[in-house]
Amino acid sequence: MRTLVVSVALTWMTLLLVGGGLLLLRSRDMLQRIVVADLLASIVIALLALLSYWRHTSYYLDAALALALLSFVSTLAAARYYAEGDPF
Amino acid sequence: MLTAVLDVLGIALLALGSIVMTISVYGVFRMPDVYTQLHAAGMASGLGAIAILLASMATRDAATITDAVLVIVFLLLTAPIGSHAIAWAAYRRRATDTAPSGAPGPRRRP
Repeated sequence: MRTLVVSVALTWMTLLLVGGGLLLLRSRDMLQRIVVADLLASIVIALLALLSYWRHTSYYLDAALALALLSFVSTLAAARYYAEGDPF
Repeated sequence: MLTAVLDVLGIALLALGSIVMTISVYGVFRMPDVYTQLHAAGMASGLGAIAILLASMATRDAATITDAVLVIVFLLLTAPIGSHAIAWAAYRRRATDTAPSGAPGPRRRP
């Protein structure tokens, strides 16, 4: 039962990831690309958590933590680059 | 008894996270402005990912729950900062782009 629910959620999240990729392709300007990249990072974090439940392994959540850190830093750097011209 | 309650809670949290993620992607697709898009995108990292990570309590595995709590705390700390940085960048760029010369726009950082 739980395996069924987790696999359905994994499939749905993968479809959402594809939809987010299409959003990234049709985005108008750089700021919208930053917003969609942040959204895609949180979708991938959720996917890694679901994969960890599916395979009964906790290591994927460490990868999710590293990905959260990387997406936070990249969002900050890209937003500052957009506003100021350089990321510092 | 407890295992049934935990299973139902985990399934409900997974469903909530999936629904909120779907609404968030649809909102980013639908909304016309960066600020309203940000309102929709903040929901994904806020409620969506945190609900899916909270469903780790149904696995009854100590290492998984500890890692999930770490990720939840990190997301709670950093998601508002990222959204605020994007909104600040949009405001700054728009104010400096559209303000006429000599108008008191937002102050440039030194």
